[in-house]
This record gives sequence, C-alpha cells and structure tokens, in this order.
Amino acid sequence: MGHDRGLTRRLLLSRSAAAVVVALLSPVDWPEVLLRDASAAGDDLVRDTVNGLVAFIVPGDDVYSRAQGVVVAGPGGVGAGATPAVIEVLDFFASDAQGRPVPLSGMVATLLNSAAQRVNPKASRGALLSAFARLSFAEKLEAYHDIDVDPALAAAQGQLALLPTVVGLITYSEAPVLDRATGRLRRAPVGWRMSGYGGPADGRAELRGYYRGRKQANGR
Amino acid sequence: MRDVIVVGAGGGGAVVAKELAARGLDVMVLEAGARFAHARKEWSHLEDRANDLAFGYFRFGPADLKKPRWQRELAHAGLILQVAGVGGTTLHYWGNCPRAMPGVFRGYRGRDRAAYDRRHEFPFSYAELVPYYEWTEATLPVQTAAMGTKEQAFLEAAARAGLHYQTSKDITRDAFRPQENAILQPGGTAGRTADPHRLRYPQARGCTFCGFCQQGCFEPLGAPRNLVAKRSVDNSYVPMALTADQWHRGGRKATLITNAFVTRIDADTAGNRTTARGVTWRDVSSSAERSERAKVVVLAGGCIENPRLWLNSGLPNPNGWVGRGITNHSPDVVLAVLRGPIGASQGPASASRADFPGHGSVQPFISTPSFTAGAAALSQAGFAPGSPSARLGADTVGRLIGPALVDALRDVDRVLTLVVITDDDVQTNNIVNIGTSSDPCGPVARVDLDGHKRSARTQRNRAFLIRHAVRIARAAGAKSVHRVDAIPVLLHIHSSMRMGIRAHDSVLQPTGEARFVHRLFIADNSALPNSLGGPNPTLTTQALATRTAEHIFQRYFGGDPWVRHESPTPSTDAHVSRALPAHGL
Repeated sequence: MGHDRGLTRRLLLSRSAAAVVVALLSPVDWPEVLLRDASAAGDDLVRDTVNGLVAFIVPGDDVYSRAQGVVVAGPGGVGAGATPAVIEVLDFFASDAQGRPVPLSGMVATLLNSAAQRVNPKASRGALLSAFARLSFAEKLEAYHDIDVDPALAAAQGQLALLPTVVGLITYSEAPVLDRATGRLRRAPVGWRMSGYGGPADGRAELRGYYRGRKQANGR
Repeated sequence: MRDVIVVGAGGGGAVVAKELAARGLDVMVLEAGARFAHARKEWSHLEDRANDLAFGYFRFGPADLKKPRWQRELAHAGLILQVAGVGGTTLHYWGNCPRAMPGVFRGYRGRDRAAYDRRHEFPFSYAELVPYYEWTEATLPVQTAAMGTKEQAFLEAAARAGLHYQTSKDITRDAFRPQENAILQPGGTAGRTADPHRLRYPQARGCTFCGFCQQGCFEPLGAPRNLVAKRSVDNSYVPMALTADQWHRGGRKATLITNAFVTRIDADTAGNRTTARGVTWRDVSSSAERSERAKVVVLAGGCIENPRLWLNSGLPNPNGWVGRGITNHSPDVVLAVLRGPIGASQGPASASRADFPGHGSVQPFISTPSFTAGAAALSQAGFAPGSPSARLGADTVGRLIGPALVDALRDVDRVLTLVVITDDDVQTNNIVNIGTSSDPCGPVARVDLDGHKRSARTQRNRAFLIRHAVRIARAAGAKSVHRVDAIPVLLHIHSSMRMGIRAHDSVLQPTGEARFVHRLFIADNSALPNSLGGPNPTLTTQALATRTAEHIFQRYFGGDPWVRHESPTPSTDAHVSRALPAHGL
C-alpha cells in the first residue's frame, strides 16, 4: 500500500466514519440525519455485511466464508446463527439522552462497506450485497486495520475494538438459540458443538482434593 | 434524618452498611440497579444470558432488561465490566481474596522496596490493615480453594517452572498457591457429582464446582441465601446488614432501596468548609426524584460513578484529583492449547494463582467457550500472528480470529486461559471525568485510560508477567501459546478517589473521609491508594471499608472501635439464615 493511496483511503474513510463516531459517542442529541443513515442501510445490506464480519471472525463452510476464500469445515459463526444476535446487540448497545436504544448496526455496516471499497474498489460489484462481504480474508484484515488506525475514528475505537469480541462471544454462546422472553434454548447451541462444550450443569464431579493436602493457609 | 446513607450496595458499600448497622446506627443503602432477591429464578448458568454486553442481567444498567444499559464515554479502546445491582461487581467476580502486596504500604522496608509505586503508597502500614483483613476473612469467610483438574495442571506446571509454593496469606516472594477464595468449599456431594438431584442443600454444601461464578452464584440448590457458595456481598454482607438486629446485640437492621440512582450529594458550604448533608436520587422506574438527609454520607458507587457524582454535585476539587489516577491492573490474557484435556471448561472458576511481588499476579480461570472466544479477540495489537517483539515468548499475539480461533477452540477443555494482572502505576493522565453527553441522571462519566500510554514500570511489569505466564503454559505442555495484548479492560478498577498521605495528590484522608467535604466518606475500590501490587482488590477494599466504618463510628457517633476487641460473626451464621425469609430472601 503506497503512502498516497493510504492517505486518500483514510480521508475517504473518514467521511463516512464521522457519522459513526458521532453516533457512538453522543447519546445526548441524536441528529436526525444519523438516524436516517442508520435506517437507510437497509436490513438486507446490514445482514449481508454482518455475515461477512461473522465469517471473518469465525469462518465455516458457508457462502460468506467461501467468498472470502478462507473456509473451515463445520458451521462457523454464520452456520451457528450468530448474525441476527450480533445485530440485536449492536442495536441495543447504545442509548440516547432519554435512555432510548439507538440502532448502530446500520452505521457499522456503512463503516465496514466504506472501508471495503477503499481497500478494493472492485468489491463494489458482485453476487453478495455487501462490499465488505465480497472482500478476501486478507483484504478484510486490511480493511479492519484501516479502521483500527484511522485518526477520524480515534474517539470511537473504544466501541469498534469490541466488534470481533462481540462476534466471538455470541458465536460460541447460546445467544443464537436463546429465547430471551422465556430464557429457554430453542435447540442445542452450535457454538457448544464447535468447541466440544457439554453445556452447563449445577455441579461437576471435578473435585481433585487440596494441593498437597493443605486446607488452610497460614495467617502470616 | 438518617445516621448514615450509603450510596451503592456493592463490594465496599455493603461492608460499611453491615458494620454500622451492627453498631445500632440507622443505615440506609441506595442501589441504582436491581435487587436480585430471587436469584435462582432471575439468573442462569448460560454465559450470554448473564453477561451479554447489551442484554445480560449483569451489566451497568437498570433492572428492567428491556431498557438499554447506562452509558459511559470511553476516550480510548476499552471495555468496562461493572455490574449494577445489589452485590455490585462482586455478583460476577470469582471470589478471589488475596491480600495486597506488603510492598505497597507505608513503612515497607523489604529489599524490593523500590519495585513498587512508592509515590502513591498506602498512608499506613501493612501491619495496621492485618486485623481488618482477619476480620473480613472470618466474616465472608475466606477459605483455601480445593482443586479441579485444571488447577492441578496449573499448580504442577508452576512448580515445574521453578516457582516456590506459598503456604501463607501474606505474599513474600515469587510463588504459586491455591487461591484464598470467598467461596464455601465443597462439602457432602458437592464437587463429586453432576446429578442435580444429588446437589441439593444440605446433601451438597458449598461450591458444587459448576464453574459459573460469573453468572451469579445460587448453588447449591435450596440453600439459604447466606449459605450459597460464593460470598458475593448479596450472599454475605447484605443479608447481614438487613438482619443486624438478629445476630448482633444492639444491632439495627439496615434499610435497602433499589432502583435508586443517586444524582447529587447535597452539601452546605460555610466559608471554606463544605459539609455533606444528604443525597438526592432518581427512582429509575418512576423517574421520581427524592431526597434524604443524613449525618454521614458514604460513597460506594464505584470508580467511575463516584467521580461523576462528585463532579455533577459541584463539590470542591481543589487539587484536581477527583477521578484522577485510576488504575486497572493493565490486564492481559494468555491462551494455551494443551496436548490433552484438563477440564478447562469445568470445575471452579478460579482456584489457583502465582504472585510476583513488585510485578503482579498470574491466574488461570475457567475456559467456557463464549468467554474464551471473546477474550481471544480483545486485543489492541491488531490481528495475530502479530509482531515477534510483542509476543514475549508466545507463538502469536493480537486478535485471535479466523481459522486459528476455530482451531484453538475445537476442544475448549484443552485451553488453559491465564490472566495477567499487573501492578500498574497511578498516572495523572488516567482519569475519570465528565463527558460531553448526558442521560436522565445528568452528564455521564468519561474514562480516559490509554493502553498505549502506560508508565514504563507498568509496561515492564506486564511484560514480566506475560513471560512467566507463557513459561507456566509451556511447563503445562502447551502445543501453542497465544498472547492477546488486551485493550484496557476495566474489571479490577481502583484509586480514582484515592486515599493518600499528601493533600496535593489524594481525595481522601487516611481515615477514608474526604479532604474537601466533611462527613463524606468513600468506601469502595476508588478509595484504594494504588493498585495493591497486582492482587485482586475486593478483600482489601472490604478490609479498608471495615476500617473506615470504625472511623465513622468513632468520629461522628462517639463509639469505640471493635475489630481489635471483638470476634466477628461469620456471614453464614444461623441467626442470619433464620431471619432472611422475613426479608423475602
């Protein structure tokens, strides 16, 4: 990546990123234009973009993993059904001055797709809706790196840095199959199967005694 | 008018409430979050349901989970893991109760004296705090932890790595040991079966080795609230405060009000003297505003909300140290994939550790899949494999994602997860202030803690500990070792309203009373003078809060100190158990 191209990329990225920065950090007055941006992203585009993100963090053998050229045998995050749960979290993570939830998924999608177009302008066309979802795995790394270091996003890094963590947390948890109203699981979580996890229990037959038989530390 | 109002029913506030209620004072506790009176019904062992960053019942947010969490501003990448509700952040802690490093106290004369943050030491000696440690350890109570398979693996690996075995509560040299935990250890069938029918109290007593400390403890099933295994204050100090008339002669039960977000410390100013007179709070459910007066106000709302409340109340801050000097142990995580299973997703959440005086601590914790995957990606160092110089002996560093993450987690029971908790410096550039945005309770807090701008000593300590963690992981037979280089995680948070020797760089006098506001005390982690040398902070905060309670009783109520003259009643006392049903517990 040449210096000029990098500089231009950052500047262009900054334009779309500014909305995200303000949105993430200003629960006081949500400008209407930002709320319009959020809804304008559209459900299908948001879902497609987040699918691209989920496949990037936890690849499987789904279409989004194949599109990035890095496939892992098994369901991965997309197959685990993580995408709707990630979108739910993004749309309930922030609130405005009146304590109302503010949808962030649309703006995150805008940010990722904007970064994708800077990394690979050809990514604007293809079978998948989202430019980010159309990137190769290596290009996704580059796009995310741009987001990491973009000075225009410095004030939002606190939240943006959490995105891969949110995907990991959700994919390997029960969130994709949890009925939040009842607290019950609709089926066995795929993430548990992917990690060989047996699920929770009220106790385990794991007691191995006390180290060197000592049950009490000295007071001093 | 109340005798004492305590703001916050977490790890520190509940201690002051219990101790002063036992002395017969009229104590009122205000808690912004949920009551959690019916833990078995309200909680779950499911990871996301408890700890989801937006929807989890353990969050900094209102009791009504249909409403979003409360907001904070972060100036840099970071993650705040605090819990609102009765019990505060002890609700999801692992019960680890090490004492602080003796080296962080005034008068320390050890050969490694220069290794600590000497400019911000405790304003009194370690020996002075020991009786308060002993009192708190007996009250909770704190017990030596039994092992599961992963603890056995860690302890044996630490021995193979050449560390000493420590048998004392006091930390004197680089050494490993089982944790001293505020957890009732397994009795009866606990730890010996996974059959829920055999895990009911009293057939099972104490910790059942379920491994879900982070989701809130309600085991063993059917136990009275004060006999639940983990001694988070909702199970220990709060029940004692609410029943103080039943277990202590002359005691008076405390009043607890939840969904009460304190928005102002009410104070009078006469000349140069400002005096706290009470508080005003907002009922989170109804939005109604209420006030109450008190002879003494105790702040225990946590390291982030205390400065916010102080500044939003317009209280004096002449030296600029309100919110300044926050420490967080600069934590990091090392993930090691072992050649065989060690039951990493089962058994106690955290029951072994290694301590390194002058540097900090390393401790393994349970590797449940969601938490492990989330931690693996929580990096400030870009994506793995990362720079060789940043690996510090590990094979890779950075966000662990993609095929590498899937591969590492293929068998979660082989993943040894080690957390590094650093003796980090009090730095003037790390500060909690008021942000640019507001919520219904006023301007929100802004946390400015830059993980890339830690002091040279903090960075050296962190690197030292990571190298040791990697060494222990290799000794455990690791196939691969990954270092996360975590963004600042604010889980152990301290010293944002620090107690100190000097008036120019502290908010509190050595008694716990504010320097610039009379009759206002602070009694949670924010009062700690420093980061304790690395050990987990709750026990020290609780010992210090006990000491602060004595000062309040002596100075403003004409009472006598008790810790050196009486024996503590344990929170498991039968009088407490018998009195709890009357309180809906």
